[in-house]
Amino acid sequence: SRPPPASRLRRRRLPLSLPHELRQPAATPRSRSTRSLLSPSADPRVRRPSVAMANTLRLYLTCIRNTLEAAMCLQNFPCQEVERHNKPEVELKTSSELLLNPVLICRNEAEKCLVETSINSIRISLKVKQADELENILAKKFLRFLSMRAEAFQVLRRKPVQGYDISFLITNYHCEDMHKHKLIDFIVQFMEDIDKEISELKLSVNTRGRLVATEFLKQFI
Amino acid sequence: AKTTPEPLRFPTIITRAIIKGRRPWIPGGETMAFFNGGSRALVEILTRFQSAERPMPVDHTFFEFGSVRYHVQASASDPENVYLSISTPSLSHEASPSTGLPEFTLQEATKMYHKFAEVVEPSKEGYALTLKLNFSGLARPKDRARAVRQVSLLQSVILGSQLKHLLGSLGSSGATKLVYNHRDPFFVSRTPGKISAIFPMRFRDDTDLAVATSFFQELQDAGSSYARAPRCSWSAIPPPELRGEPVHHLTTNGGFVSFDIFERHVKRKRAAKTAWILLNFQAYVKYHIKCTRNYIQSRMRKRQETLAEVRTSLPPSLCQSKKCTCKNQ
Repeated sequence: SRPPPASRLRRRRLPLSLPHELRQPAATPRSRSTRSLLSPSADPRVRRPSVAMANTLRLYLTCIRNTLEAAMCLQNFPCQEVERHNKPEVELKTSSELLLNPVLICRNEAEKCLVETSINSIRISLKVKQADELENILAKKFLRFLSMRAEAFQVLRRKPVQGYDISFLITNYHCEDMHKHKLIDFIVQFMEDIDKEISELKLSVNTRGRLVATEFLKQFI
Repeated sequence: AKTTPEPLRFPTIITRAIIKGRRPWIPGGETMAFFNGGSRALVEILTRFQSAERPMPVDHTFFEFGSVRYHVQASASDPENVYLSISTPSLSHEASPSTGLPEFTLQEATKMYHKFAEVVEPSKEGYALTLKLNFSGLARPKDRARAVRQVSLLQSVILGSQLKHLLGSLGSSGATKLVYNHRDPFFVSRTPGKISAIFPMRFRDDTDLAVATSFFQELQDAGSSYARAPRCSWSAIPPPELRGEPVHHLTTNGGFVSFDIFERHVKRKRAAKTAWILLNFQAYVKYHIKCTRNYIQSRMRKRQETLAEVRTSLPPSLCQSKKCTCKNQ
């Protein structure tokens, strides 16, 4: 007979000891998708990350993409506690057999991505790079602006998880409505666009300040 | 699909305007004519009065910068004379606006406008100075227009005169507090060879503080490029010139901005202009912060619309499997 879903999940749990270390599950055959979950430094197919920012960003995004591809296997699962209710289990966290181990992918001390998966939902939380006070303020303003308009994005969470700047909540209904690979592309592109936008905002503010300062001093001449 | 960010356009617009020698328009705000010394409302009222075909009575009261009050009055029976009254905050706590201006300021005003105006004593009730303007002695419209522009500079003339007197009373060295805007007082310190204007900057919001700090850094860097402009410096702690001042005057979150004014900046007619620019420095910073916040907000809104468009363009999945439990089946 078919094993119940909970025991199937238990076999697939990834025993992790360190947040950024991904180990292969013992019972599951080593597939192509799980092989790519290895950290970039351990995976022999990945080049050693160079000092350049672009390379580390590429590796970071590739690691997140591969993690999402493996983790986004969602199915409909009614709530076990309340009859006729269907809730995202990753938010409730009441039944441990329905949750997978969270995966934390760190680019550096300031940037990280937490992927929490359950049987019917996945939560992705991002911490964005903030080099100085101005970037900190701009990132906070911009991400809060986006979070307050979460209904326009559907998969965006109104409030980020504590310790992070922005969070996504994807349920099995989203996976049914949209292509999974397109959804992952959207999230990865979203991350790139946020970084770009914050950098451009900071550049714009500094450029404006320089021009205004020049105009102010010209009045004396 | 990969979305490309919008190209940053405004620096190119600004650069082109600077190259052509025009005053650039900075997106998100009005032009810097807002901080010119003359009152545009006064120019408009006086010009309209002079160009009217028939004599008409005029009685206008208006405010500028929240604390400067003007009153313009003329009657149809005496169309040649226009009475202009002004009430402006004093630079020091001792003088009050309603007690009238000191003698040296009245002399300065008389010297400036003797060709077409005379000081009325006593001034109108509630006002510091009343002038009786008569442009009939100026035949050419060009001379009248120039006279109207000079009258619009009345407030900067008064403030320049007060500042000159206060600096003179300091002697060869000393510091004093000026309260042009009672919420944002600043200090003027005199040392042999130069005068320093020191502005303690306070902001209520973290965003304002971050934008202002970036602006002060740019101001400091830009000052080194213009040798003829006053030297500008910023420090987080009170400068040595303010030693001895009460602690509550020196408590800030935005640091201290100092301008070193030398003789070349106050030679001849430049003194009034320099005084006006320094007196409006804090208002200038606040205006820049307001425009920057406006720009950030509009840019965030545009980016959010772009990102939302990408999300809505995601195609729906078409589930063909019999085991699929999605709504589309």
